[in-house]
Amino acid sequence: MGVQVLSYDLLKNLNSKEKVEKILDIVKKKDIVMIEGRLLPEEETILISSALESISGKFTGIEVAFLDSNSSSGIFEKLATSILKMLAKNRFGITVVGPSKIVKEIKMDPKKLEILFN
Amino acid sequence: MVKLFSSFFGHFFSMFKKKKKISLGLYGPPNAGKSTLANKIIEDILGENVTEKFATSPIEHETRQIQQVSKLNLKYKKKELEFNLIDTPGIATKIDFEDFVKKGLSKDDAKQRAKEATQGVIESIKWLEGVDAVIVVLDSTENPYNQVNITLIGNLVAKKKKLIIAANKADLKNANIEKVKLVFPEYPIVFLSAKTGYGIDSLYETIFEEFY
Repeated sequence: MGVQVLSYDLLKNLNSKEKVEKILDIVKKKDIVMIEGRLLPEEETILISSALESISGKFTGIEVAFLDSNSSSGIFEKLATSILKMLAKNRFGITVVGPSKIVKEIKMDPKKLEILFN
Repeated sequence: MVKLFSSFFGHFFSMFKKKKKISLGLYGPPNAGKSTLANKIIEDILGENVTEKFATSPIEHETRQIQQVSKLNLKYKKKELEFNLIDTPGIATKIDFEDFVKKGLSKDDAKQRAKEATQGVIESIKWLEGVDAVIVVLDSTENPYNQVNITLIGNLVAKKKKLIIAANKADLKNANIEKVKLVFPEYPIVFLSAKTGYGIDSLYETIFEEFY
C-alpha cells in the first residue's frame, strides 16, 4: 500500500469523469489518494457511483473524506475565507480517498481527519 | 339543514385552500431510519391499518430499491400539500458482503444483498434529479460529520433542492443533538423519533414552512 498526493494543478484540466477515473485507478491498486482541494459535489456523487459500479471480490468500495482547511469562526474571517474560496475555486482543503478493504474508516472532524486501517 | 349548510360552505371555502404538489424524497445513510419514518408518515396520513408499508431491519441495506407511495395529502392551517413519498436505499461509499455474513446471513444471501444494495445506492443517486424536496434522515446517535451526509447535502444545495434534516433517534440517551446543530447550522433541523413519533408534528410543520 502507498499514498499518492495529487496537486490541484494535476487535476484542474481534467473533466469530472477523467478526474474520477484517475482517482479510482489509484485506489483500485490499493493506494490511498490525497488530493489538494475538493471535488465538486457532482464529482463526489460520480465518484461514489463509479466506485460502487466497480465493486468486485477484491474491491468493495471506498472511504472518502474532506478536510476544510479554513473552517474560520469570526464574521470577517468567514467573509474573507468565502472570497478567497471563490477566487481559488476548489483548491482549499484536502480530499482523502482510500480503498475500503484497507481503510476501515476516516473519522472526520471539521479540523482533522483520522484514518483507521483494517 | 344546518349540516347541509355547513357542508356547502365547507366545500365552498375548500376551493380557496391552497394546494401544492411535490415529490418528496427520504435520503440518508443506511439504517438512519428512512423507511421507519416513511411508515410513520404514511400511517399518520392514511391510518394505522394501511398495507402500503415498507420493510425495516436492523441489518443495513434492507431497502435496496426505490419505493414510493403516491398522492399523500398533508393538511396544515388551511394549506394542503399533496406529495409522492419516495423512500430510497441508504447511500454508502462501500458495500462488502462479508459485513452481512457477520450479521448472520448465509454467504449466498449476503452476496445477493450486497449486489442489490450496490444497485440501490446507484439508483438513489440517479433519483436525486427527479425529487423536488428532500428530507435528509440522519441517525442522531452517530457522528453527523461524515462524507455521505456532506456529499448528499452538498449535492442538494448544488441542485437547488429544498431540504430538511430529520435527526432521527433523538429520543435515545446517546443522541448528540448539539453536534448535529453544530455541523449543520444553516439548514432546518427537526429532532425526532420515527419509531415513537416524538417530534413528528414538528416535522410536518417544518415541511409546510420549507416546502410549501
